[in-house]
Amino acid sequence: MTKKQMQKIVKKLADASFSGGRIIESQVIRSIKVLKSLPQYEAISALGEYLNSIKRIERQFTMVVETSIPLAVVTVNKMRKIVEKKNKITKVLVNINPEILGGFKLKIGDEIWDESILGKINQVKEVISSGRSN
Amino acid sequence: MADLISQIEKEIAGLKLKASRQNVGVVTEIGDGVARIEGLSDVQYSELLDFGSGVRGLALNLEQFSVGAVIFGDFTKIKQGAEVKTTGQILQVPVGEGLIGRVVDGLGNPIDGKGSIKASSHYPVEKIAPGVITRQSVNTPLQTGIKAIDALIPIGRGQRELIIGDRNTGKTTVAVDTIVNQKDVICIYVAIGQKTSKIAQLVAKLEDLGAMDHTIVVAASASDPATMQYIAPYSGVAMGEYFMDQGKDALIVYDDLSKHAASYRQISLLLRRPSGREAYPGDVFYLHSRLLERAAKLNKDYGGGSLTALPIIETQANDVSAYIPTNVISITDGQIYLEPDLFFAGVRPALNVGISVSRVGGAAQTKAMKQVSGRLKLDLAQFRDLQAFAQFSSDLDPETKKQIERGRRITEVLKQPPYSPVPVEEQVVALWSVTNGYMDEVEVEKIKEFEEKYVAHLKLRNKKLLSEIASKKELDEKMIKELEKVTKEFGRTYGKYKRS
Repeated sequence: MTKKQMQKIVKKLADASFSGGRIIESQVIRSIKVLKSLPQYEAISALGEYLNSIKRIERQFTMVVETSIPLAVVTVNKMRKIVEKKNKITKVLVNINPEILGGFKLKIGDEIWDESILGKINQVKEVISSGRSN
Repeated sequence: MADLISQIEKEIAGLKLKASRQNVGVVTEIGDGVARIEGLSDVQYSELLDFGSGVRGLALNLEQFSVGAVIFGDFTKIKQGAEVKTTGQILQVPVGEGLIGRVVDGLGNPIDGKGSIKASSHYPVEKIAPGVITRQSVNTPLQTGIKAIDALIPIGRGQRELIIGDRNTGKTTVAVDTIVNQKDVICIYVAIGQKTSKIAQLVAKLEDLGAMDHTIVVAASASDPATMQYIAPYSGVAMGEYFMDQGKDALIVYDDLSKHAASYRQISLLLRRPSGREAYPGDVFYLHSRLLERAAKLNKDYGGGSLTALPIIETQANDVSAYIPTNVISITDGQIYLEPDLFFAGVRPALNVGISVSRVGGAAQTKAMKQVSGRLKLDLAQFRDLQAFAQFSSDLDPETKKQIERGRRITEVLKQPPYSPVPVEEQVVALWSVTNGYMDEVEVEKIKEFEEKYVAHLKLRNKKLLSEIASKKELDEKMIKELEKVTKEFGRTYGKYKRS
């Protein structure tokens, strides 16, 4: 099997392992069995590729909120509702990071919305430094 | 200080802060200045990436799920799993008059310890070369101050002339001589993969000769990462383009493009791009063609500025037919070939006039130089044909003997010590006198002395004639007659000069 063929199969299996943004455990087990049946040298890389694909897809449906202080569940749910108008969310993670000083950072897939105090300070810093010579 | 604070306060007051939206990725692999990043689904080709802690990179390989990027700066600070952000910007370097006299790295940061640079603007490092409509053919000479080049392989402003030869044949010296000879041309010297000590020596030499007043040095030494060596010529050309856009004339020297190709090969192999001949990637031709195409002579509607490029290529064992040399030869408008045999025979600059060529420079050559160089080329060509018979000089007919002797004298006149460029009017008179047989009676060993004293005599007695040649840029009949008279008179008194 060529690398391209293998990638195609892995992609199909990974896509089939999700339904409505949620991971289907039974489908994952079945996919792993299929990949394990491949010759050993192909199975190892195929399984690695499959796991990466699963993680990649899962990331697209996961909302990560980063704040400096713990948030109330109501607030998190409110945030989720707003985000769900555009993105399907199946998993919500809340990280506490005092370094952002205040506000929050929201991450979905490859996108980050920065509403933190640190982000604002950086914006001010950039404006001041770009207004001056190198 | 109070002014500065109030200005900053004013800027902050007028600032509208928005929630920033960024595209991010995660570093999955890192090593040797190259990183593989997962994510960054919205990244553009050649977009600047922020690796955090002041380290930046450039997205070069856009694949289905990952991005290959080169890192500028200290890549040891980056760890696997680190977050990478897109910036929405393409790589830019500072440009402007503030850079003149400075030594900067491949990103335009000062490395000479003379403080920060006051940049007039910022120019993108990668830019499409000027198009057909904006250009005009070369029409103004770029005097190198080297007799052999100005007479036989003339360079025009906006031309791309390759300097090619083995190691230690004087390639850099030719380029530096050209920089030293410039007065109204801003020069940019890009050092790629050279020893730091050599770059320091060169900068010191340029300072000694007063050439740093119109020169920018972009240094990406052998100790810098391959990514810096790869980007340095593009940064240099962006700096040159600024002056060209201002309607000024600029000259850029790439020293050298063989090392540039090697650094690009390293990056490409680390990015796992398929390799081709000599392990270079398939786009190594485009690497140099897009760089050298940016040298141009703009027409008057676009300011009339020019950017002349002197790329340097180091050959291995005289092999000009290797991959990179042939590529660059085909891109440029001619080449100056420096030969080790000539160098070690004492012919310096070790120019092989037979192989060297300037495809467009002739159109830019001054009339005065054209008048003397026509005869010079003919005499030299005949000398080359007859050189093989020179050892049988006793059996040769007088005409052949005369041609060989003339060729020897011309070769002597074309010899020149380094860092001593000759003004064009002095070149014209010296070449005129040798091609018209006024040096035929002088012994070959004494040609240099004769030439020096002859030019000194003209400067003393006929300064007006020299300045007329310089201003009119041609030799009219009156001038020729006067030159004949003065040269004959000098020939008669030469003996007296020798004794004194």
